Amino acid sequence: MTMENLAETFVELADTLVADFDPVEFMHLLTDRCVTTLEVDAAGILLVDHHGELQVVGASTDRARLLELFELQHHQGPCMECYLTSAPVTVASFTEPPQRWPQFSSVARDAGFGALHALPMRLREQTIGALNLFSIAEGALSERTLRVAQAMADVATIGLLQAQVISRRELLAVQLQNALQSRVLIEQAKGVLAERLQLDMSRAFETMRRYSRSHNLYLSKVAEGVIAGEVDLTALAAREAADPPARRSPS
Amino acid sequence: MSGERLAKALAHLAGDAAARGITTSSESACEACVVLIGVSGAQLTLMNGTGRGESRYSTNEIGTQLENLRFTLGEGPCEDAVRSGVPVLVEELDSWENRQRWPLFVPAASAAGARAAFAFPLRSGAIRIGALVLHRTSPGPLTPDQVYDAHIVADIILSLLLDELTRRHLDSEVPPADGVSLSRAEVHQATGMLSVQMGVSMDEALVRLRAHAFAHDQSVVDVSRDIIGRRLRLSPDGRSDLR
Repeated sequence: MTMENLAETFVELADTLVADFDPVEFMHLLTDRCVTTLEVDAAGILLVDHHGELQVVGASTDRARLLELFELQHHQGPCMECYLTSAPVTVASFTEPPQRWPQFSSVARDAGFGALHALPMRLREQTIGALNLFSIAEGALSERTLRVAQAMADVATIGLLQAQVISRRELLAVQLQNALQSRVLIEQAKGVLAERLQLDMSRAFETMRRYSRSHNLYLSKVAEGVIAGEVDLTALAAREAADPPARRSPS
Repeated sequence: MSGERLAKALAHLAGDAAARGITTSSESACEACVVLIGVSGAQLTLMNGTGRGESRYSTNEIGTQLENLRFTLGEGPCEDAVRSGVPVLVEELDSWENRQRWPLFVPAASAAGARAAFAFPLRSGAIRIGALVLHRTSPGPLTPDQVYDAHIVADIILSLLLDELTRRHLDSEVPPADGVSLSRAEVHQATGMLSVQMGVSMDEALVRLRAHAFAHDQSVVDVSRDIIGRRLRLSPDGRSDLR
């Protein structure tokens, strides 16, 4: 983690806080930057919805996403604990006993991860979710790295709230609802693409994301286009199948 | 805020329907949410085949008039919410800004007696079937708690409407809405796959998915997993093909 890299990250995050703000896009950028800046291997974000249930909003890889989904299904684990207590939770090893959440640890191990840090997304007395950092190697991150990570979680929280100031003073409740609706749209589009091109869900997601980056479009816009049949990813998916892009994280 | 909120809202809607000797429906939920959320009235607008939308229910005369205005003028908070898929919250209808935004709707709505309007889309991703519109005869914003409750009621009404549509595909009764199955990633993914398999819209795909689950006495999430795992396909005529 260099100073220059860090400054760049925060400038880039601040750059997205403009009128045409897309919360889901912001969450994806943030998780990507966590991976490059904090030297972790995957990152994910959970936000609470209006039912009081946590939902996965952004993840740097589908693998991190699956873990978070698993945790949500069982209503227990480090990310849930972090959200409920509004305090950071560290699992420095998924192998060394005793394991506080043995089921989660075993799934995390199978996914190829060694450690996890969960940081609360807090605004004053309200906690709106958690930022989760997954590492392949075991061991806790340094104090310094964790402080930067918490700063990034804070930026994410401010980003969401800032958006409500810029875009017609929407309430946080409305803002979160919109983020979650974009998420639903992306899941539906993954299904459409998986069936149309006979891909698995991770590949469908990666294909959409690559398209959104190369065309400089929001992921939720690409998802809408896929569902409406206006975006054709056949060629892109075929190219990727022939020459799969290198991955940063375990798959 | 927690799952208690949903439980409280469901209990209120069911209790209200029971007190009136009817079963919970999209209409009864629309009626009951007026007291739950604390507004003057509410109306339900549903999108029909023509895309213009139609009135499904309204709790008072003002609601009926607001819906008529939306239909004839093609503008206003409800029209914007349905088109954009995001909530449109207007705490003071008759402001300079809003007269610019909806020049025909605002004077007519004010004359009808509405001073504030809050439109919540009935939506799950690409599925958009209408809006729940609340109004007040005095200006002022909804509190964050009221907005949460309105989102919850909109989700419950969406579930109830889907149940009502699902019944058309079934001989048996549909179990009561749980409100949970709509928030699972697997269900959204399977709905997307089904829409391609059956060549139908996303709404129709979700209705068929639920109908299949109810008819086979399985959970919607389990059926979704079978579809994603390509162990189950549904054909356009509704027959299933187990692999």
